[in-house]
Amino acid sequence: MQKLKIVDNLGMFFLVVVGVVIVFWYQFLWPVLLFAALGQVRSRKAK
Amino acid sequence: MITCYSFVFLGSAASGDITAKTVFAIFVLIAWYIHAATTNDYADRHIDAINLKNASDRPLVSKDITYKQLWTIHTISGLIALALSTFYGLGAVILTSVMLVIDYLYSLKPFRISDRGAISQLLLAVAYVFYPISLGYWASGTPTPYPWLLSLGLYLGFVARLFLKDFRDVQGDRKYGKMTFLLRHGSKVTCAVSGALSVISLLMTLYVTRFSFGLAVALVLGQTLATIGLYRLSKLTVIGTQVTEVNLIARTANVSAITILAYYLCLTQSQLSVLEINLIPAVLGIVMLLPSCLNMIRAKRDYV
Repeated sequence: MQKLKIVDNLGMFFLVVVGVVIVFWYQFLWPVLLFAALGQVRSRKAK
Repeated sequence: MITCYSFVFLGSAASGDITAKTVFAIFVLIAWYIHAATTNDYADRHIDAINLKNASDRPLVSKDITYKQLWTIHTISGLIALALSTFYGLGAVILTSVMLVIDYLYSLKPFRISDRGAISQLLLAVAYVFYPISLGYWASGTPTPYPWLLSLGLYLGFVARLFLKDFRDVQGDRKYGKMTFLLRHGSKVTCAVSGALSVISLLMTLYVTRFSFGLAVALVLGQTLATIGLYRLSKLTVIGTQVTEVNLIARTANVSAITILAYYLCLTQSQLSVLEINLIPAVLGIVMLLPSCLNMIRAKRDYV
C-alpha cells in the first residue's frame, strides 16, 4: 500500500508536469488544464 | 457542475470557437443549478434526512437555512438565470425557461419524475447535457450547425452515469417508496444497462469524431476501466464500497469528456498537424486516466 501511495503521488506529479508542459506549448488547451485541475480538487475534497 | 461547465466548452469548441461568453456561462449554470437544487432539497428533505443526515450540502437537513430563506434563494436564482440567458439569445431564454419548469416537474408532485424509474435519468440528462452544450453553441457565435450527434452521444453517456447515482440513496429511497430504477430492477440490471448505454455513447462519439485514432485510444481505455468498475459494482453489497466504485467510474467519464474537449480544441487550430491532433488527446487522456488505473488496482487489493 505504501508503494502504491508513492506511485500515486508520483503519478500526480507527472500529470501536473505533463499538463503544464502541454499547455505551455499549446496554450489553446488551457480549458483542458482548468477542468483537469477542477476534477482533481473535487476528488481530493471527496476523499 | 464542473461536468456541466465542461459541456459548455465542448459546445463552443465543437462549434468552432471559445469566447468570453463561453467562460461567463458558468454564472447562468450556477443560477439554474441553485434553482434546481433548492427545488430538489425541499422535495427530498425527508429522504435526505436519512440518506444524507451528515451532508454539508443539504442545508434544510442541517437546518442552516429556513424554508423562507430557501424559497427566496430559489426565486432569485431562477430570475438571475433567465436574465443572464438573454446574453445568449432568444433560444437561450426559451431553453432556460424550459429548464426551470423541468426543475419542478422533476422534483415536485404530482409529476415528481424523480420517482419514475428510468424516465428520471432520461430527463435529468437533458438538463445536464443539452442545456450546457446549447449555451456553449450560442456562446461561440459561429454559423455552424448545432452538434446534434455529439450531443446525443454525450447525452447517452450521461444517462449511463445517472443510472448509478441511486446507489448512494438506496436506504432512504426504499423507506419513502421512491422507486428508482435500481430499486425496481436491482444492481446487476442497473450496471448492465449503464454499461450498454456507455458503449453506445462511445461508438456514437467515435463516429462523430471520424474515429480519430488518438482520441479513440483514450476513450476506449476509459471505457475499459468503466466496464471493469461496473462489473465490480454489480457484485458489491456494502453501500460505502458501492459509492467508492461509482465515483471511480464517474471519474473515467469526466476524463473522457475532457479528452473530447481537447480533440475539438485541436480542431480549432489550423496550424496543427494530423499527428498532433491525434497525439494530444491520446497523451492527455492516458495521463489523466493513470490515477484511475492506480485506484482500481488499489481497490482490487481491498476486495481480495
